Amino acid sequence: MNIDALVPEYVRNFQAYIPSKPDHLLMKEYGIPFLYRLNNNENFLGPPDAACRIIEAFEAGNSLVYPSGDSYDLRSALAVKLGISEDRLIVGNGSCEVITAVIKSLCESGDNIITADKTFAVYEWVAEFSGIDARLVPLHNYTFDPQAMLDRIDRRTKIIFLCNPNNPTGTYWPEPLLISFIEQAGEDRIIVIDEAYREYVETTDYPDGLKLMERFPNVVVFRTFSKMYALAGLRVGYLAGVEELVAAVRRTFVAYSVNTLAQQAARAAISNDTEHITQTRKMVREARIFLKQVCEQIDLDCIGTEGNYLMIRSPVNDLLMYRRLMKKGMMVRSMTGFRFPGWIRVTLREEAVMAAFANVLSDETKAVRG
Amino acid sequence: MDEAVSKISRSSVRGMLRRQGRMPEYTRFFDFLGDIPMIDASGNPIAFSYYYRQLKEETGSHTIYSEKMFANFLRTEYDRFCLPRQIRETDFKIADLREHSVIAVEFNNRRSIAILRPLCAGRDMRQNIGDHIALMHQQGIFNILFEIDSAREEEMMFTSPLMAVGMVPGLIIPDAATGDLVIFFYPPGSAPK
Repeated sequence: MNIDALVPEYVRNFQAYIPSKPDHLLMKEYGIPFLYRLNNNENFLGPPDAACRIIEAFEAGNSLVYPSGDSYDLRSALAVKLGISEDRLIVGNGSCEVITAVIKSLCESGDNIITADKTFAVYEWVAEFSGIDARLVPLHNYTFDPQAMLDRIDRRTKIIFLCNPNNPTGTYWPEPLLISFIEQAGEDRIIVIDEAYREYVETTDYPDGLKLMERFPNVVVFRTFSKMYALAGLRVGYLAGVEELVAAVRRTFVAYSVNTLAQQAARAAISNDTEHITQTRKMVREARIFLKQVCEQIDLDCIGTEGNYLMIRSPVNDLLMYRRLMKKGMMVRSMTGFRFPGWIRVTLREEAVMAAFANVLSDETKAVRG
Repeated sequence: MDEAVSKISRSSVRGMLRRQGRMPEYTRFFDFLGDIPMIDASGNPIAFSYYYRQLKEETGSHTIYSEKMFANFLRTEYDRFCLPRQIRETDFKIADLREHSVIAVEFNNRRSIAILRPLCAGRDMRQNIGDHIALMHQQGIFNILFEIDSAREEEMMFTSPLMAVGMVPGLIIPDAATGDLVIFFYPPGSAPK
């Protein structure tokens, strides 16, 4: 049987993402008694208290019934919190599912999407393995380049993905720039504003995609419970858009993809999140200041003003530095796969872990510099 | 170089290798694997410098079977690059092998290089390698390399015979732990043993 003949060329040519091995295997292979994860931008303060209570109280009997197929109660809670109708929301199994749904519902062969070359890779991946042209625009000063993106638009451009703030560079477009871009991009295409890290941003000029959505019906906003709300292990994300668009996207959306515990925990997480967000922001703010100081002391460049991560320029190639740090129990993200060879990305987390990481980073930097 | 590595990193390529001449300002992009001593056409000593860059996190198995005398070299090299490998010391039972071994040879006449690769292990490995070296020397080829895939136990059986005839383990080219390549060289100017 010739399997290749069955597989479309754009799938055959796609290089599948290979996730990291489980922690227990990595610890065995590297011969380390502990492993601090600083690679996936998780929030190590854990979920908000109300979500923790839901998770701890979840009973096995609750798993025998299918979840709400369209996350009804969660959408209702989100609708109240966000001040929009629940019909303008789709909840997915992480943001990745809503990214996929938007591309599947809007794009067909010959269409294209536009995004940056150095950003969250899933926009590009889904487009490529769906046979849709992904036009990747280089960042300018580590930021999305508005004019260069506008220049790539043609009549087959269906979606423009903006990661705001950008993962991994931590830069963002302020409101006036974003509005100007949306106006120039025109109404004939969708502008996706991925706000996965919005809750970490404290500056006043950071735009609220939901408000822009009211003014520009072609704006769609993505948000997630995986980052600030620390529910990454449960996988919940959502999109918000105008009703007509959401109805179209829902046609390609497989119902029942978000499990019951995830829906309940996410609903609880937003019920009383003020203190949680305050505490997390404080942790991240302090970690960023501390790690930037450490980088300055050991003469390593770093970038990143927003989000719960910092990019650091490695003194040796990033995969070697990744392995050196792994040998000391510190798992960072090597950035070659993000098209940032020579950089690592570090999750900003609790003080004690940051202090331990700083010591290891300093030691390894000295060692490789000889 | 940033741009080039970025482009290649999203392809199916697992790693990049450069193996000629010294490379300035390499540290941000490549690991220096080592030098292999050679002689040029005029008989002057030169070295092939090997640089490597892994492009993807490793996914392979990490167990390598090696005889004790060779295990220390492997440990030192793997430690140098923090490559996680489980090295299991073992005594290969050469006496249980078939009588004859088979070796493939790739020639680069312009550079006077012969690269030998094992095809089948056999009881006559030492004699066979020695004969190959002598034949290369008769042909005027003095840069002799022997490549072994460390993930293949049958190929690792060649290590003791190689060292017995005077070949030296020079460096390891990592390959995602699916088949790291160990490069042996015959010291240029040495007489065949």
